Amino acid sequence: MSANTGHWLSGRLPSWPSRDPYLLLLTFVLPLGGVVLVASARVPVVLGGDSVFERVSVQQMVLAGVGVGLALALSAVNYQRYARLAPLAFAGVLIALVGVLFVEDATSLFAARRWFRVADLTVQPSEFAKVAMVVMLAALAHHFGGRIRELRVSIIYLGGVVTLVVIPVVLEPDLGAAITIAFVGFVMIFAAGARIWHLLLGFGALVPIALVSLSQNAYQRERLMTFLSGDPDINRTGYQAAQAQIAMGSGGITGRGLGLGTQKFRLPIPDSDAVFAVLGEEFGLVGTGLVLVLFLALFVRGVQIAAATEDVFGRMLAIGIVTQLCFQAFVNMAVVTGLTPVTGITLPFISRGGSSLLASMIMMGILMNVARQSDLGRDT
Amino acid sequence: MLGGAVAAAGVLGWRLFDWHVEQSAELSARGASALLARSEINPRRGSIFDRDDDVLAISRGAVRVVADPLSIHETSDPFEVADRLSGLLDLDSTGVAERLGDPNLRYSEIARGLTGDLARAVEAAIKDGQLPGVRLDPDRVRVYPNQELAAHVLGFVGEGTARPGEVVGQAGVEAWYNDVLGGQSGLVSSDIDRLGRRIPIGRYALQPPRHGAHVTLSIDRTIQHIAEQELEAAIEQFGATAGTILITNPRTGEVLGLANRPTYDPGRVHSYREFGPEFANRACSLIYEPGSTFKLVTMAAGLDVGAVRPETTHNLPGTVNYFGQEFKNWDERTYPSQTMVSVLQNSSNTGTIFVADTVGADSFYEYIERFGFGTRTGVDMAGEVPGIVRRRGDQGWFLPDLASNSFGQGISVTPVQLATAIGAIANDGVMMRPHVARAVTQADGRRATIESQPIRRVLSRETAQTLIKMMEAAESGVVNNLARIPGYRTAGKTGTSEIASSGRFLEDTSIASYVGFGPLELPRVLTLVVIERPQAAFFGAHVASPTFARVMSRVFAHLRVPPRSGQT
Repeated sequence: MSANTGHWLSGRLPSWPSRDPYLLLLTFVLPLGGVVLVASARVPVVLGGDSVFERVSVQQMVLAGVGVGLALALSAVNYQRYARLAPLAFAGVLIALVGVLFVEDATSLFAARRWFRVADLTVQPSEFAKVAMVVMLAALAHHFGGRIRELRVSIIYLGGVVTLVVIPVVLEPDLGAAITIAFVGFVMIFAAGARIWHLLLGFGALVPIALVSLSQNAYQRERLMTFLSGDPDINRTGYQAAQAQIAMGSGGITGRGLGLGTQKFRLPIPDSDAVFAVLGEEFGLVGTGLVLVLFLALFVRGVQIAAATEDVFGRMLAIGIVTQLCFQAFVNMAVVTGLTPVTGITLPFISRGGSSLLASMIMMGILMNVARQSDLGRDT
Repeated sequence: MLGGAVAAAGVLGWRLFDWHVEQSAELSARGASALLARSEINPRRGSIFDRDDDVLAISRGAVRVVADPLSIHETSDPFEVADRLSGLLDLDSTGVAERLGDPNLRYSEIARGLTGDLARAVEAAIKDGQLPGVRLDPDRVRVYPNQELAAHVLGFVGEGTARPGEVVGQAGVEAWYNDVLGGQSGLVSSDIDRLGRRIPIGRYALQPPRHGAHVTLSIDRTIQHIAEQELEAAIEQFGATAGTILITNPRTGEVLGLANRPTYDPGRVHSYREFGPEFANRACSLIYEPGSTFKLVTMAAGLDVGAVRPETTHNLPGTVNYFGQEFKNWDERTYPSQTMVSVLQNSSNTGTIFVADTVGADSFYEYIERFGFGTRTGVDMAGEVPGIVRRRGDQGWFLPDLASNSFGQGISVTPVQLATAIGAIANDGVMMRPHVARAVTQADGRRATIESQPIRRVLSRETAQTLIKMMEAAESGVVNNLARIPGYRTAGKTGTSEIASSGRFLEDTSIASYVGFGPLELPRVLTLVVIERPQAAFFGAHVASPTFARVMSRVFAHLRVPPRSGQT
């Protein structure tokens, strides 16, 4: 036993990446929950097919392991190195975002162009764009410091970064992701100290983009109208909302038990967007409540870390990362519980999907390093 | 910022509590009912056999030809497909093209109930890729291997409305025994996913169908053939429009053979354009005035109440005015001191008026009722009608009607009623309920015999035997009697009825009939021949008697009824 610190890990592994128990817990528990739920949600595929081997579930398991390792490794990397890498990474992600628009994928839903297909894997650039944008905004906020109060800086430079990401994502089209990205951008620019009326001006600029997207995509309009009408018509776009509601209600307080839900046979994409409904049916209020509390805890911890970080880059990273992860989680849960219109957005860490999981774990790794260098990290 | 996050989490948490706890019972019930799908399983319909257990009707697996017009429009030319299909199926090409014409349809039925070579030919063409968008769906078809034989006894089937693929008997035995033949549908209920497939971990319950039972008829296929052939021959010989031959066993009420003309093929009912007269089971649903065959009933009543005896004589002239209406003998002759045997022999109308008048209206109509006229016999074939009898006191009955009723006019009966009534004379006075089914065999092999039942005793044994002797004596007295069968003793009566149409009788046309039974040692075959509107002759004695004789002699031979010793 080492005497110079109270923490049990620090003595044996002095350079061990993270000592933040909250972030460590979340880093392990959320992806593990995802592995379990995706496997359960894939049961219809297993029963409908002729092989017991379920590729996607195994893939999710491997990715979760890789993701946890990646997060732990990145927590050891000094986050300040990313400031210089940010423009390069951002440029690379933008090229990928534009490039994906030229990929014809006959198998995708709603004729959306969201994925690169590499061998047997699909890569979704918008997931990594979220990370790159958060880092880029944080780096810019750090660079301009107090000049953020200038219109040119807040709207043209930082707002421009957000717009550069949002436009190709809208064109995919993926309005849900675009809204999430825009929201994170606003929160970061606001947190950096921009004037409120600058933000309102920027918001005004984004409204036409959303309207153009709605005018071009009938399914988006339909989803919006279904939501506004308040009467989920079971046979059409309200179907998913109605099935999710039944899943939740069938779960009750403690749920039917792992694997025993039947709504996953009726939900359109139970292993991805609707995985929260599968959770609700199989683990009940206990399960959904726990996930809600975990994401709230992530957000609270992120804000605490930001408050304990003097460095603007680190503080902005912490705020951007937890906003990104938690707002997306909130939108996903709000969609499943019918509080917002249906939009195809995943539950971070838990939904099936390698790009989303790895991007989330990268952010967790960065956040853990920020925490380590903060007052919170130094205190313990 | 924290406040916003906590508020958002609060809204979500409230919603989760609302759905997981508050609305849980209602939502899970809604989910459970939306999930569960029930579908009925059609049972197999039982077969119909003749009395030797040969098949008369059976359900077989078949295919129906179904097209997907949308896919045909997308992948090829609907007219080409229609041409090929119509060529294969021998259908009108335009009609098929019409059914493929609407590109908004995904389902269009082209033909159903295909079996054998035809089904194989279509299947081969589909495999060759000649018929894109056309497929074969399973179907069941009711097969009647003997085509028209006993068509009206068997009836036919159609599609029911209770569930898809339901088969319902529409006439004859198929309709009367529909519940027996049809069985009971099964039910499968299971949780299904959004594409209608069963969810393996969901609920599942199967209640298997109870397959239909088989019905064995009393119909003897040889006797049925005899009835069909002789009826066909008589109709052709006399240029008649329609007719019925009904052959029963009067001791049991069993129907041994029943033929009607016109007729139809029960296996091809769908190809008939309309529900025409060929579908009528005239033996049960034709009402006609029985004419002189009814004199047997009048005479039976007279003998049974003791109003007359065989040797009783009457002296009514050839033309009688009975309560204001004039009645004539068919030959308008007067027979002085005519005996009752002679009344039958000469088929004297005034003779039966004498009998009915002596019996009295109350008693006379009581006997008509006891013989079953005016009520259904209860024969086990669908569509029987009760006939029309107006008794004293009924609206439209007048005093002269007693006279006309006594020789079978002003009263309407069905052939099966007459055969049943005359059967009582053959069966020592006991009238048996006519029936065509002998046994019901359940799908599991249990067999229940349908017992013959007496309806009631109509006459005393003595009356019946006396009347038979009178009939035999009268028949042997008839000169050149075409109803006689060498070597066998039979008894019967001719009938010639006029046809009422729009309130008046049609001239130069008639319903010629003969009812008789034998062998008189122990009568076990009764035959009623009814020929409608013969052109080449008018009287029952000329039209129906020879057919009766041919039918009876062939049936006796088939049943190995020995002829009287020394005669052939």
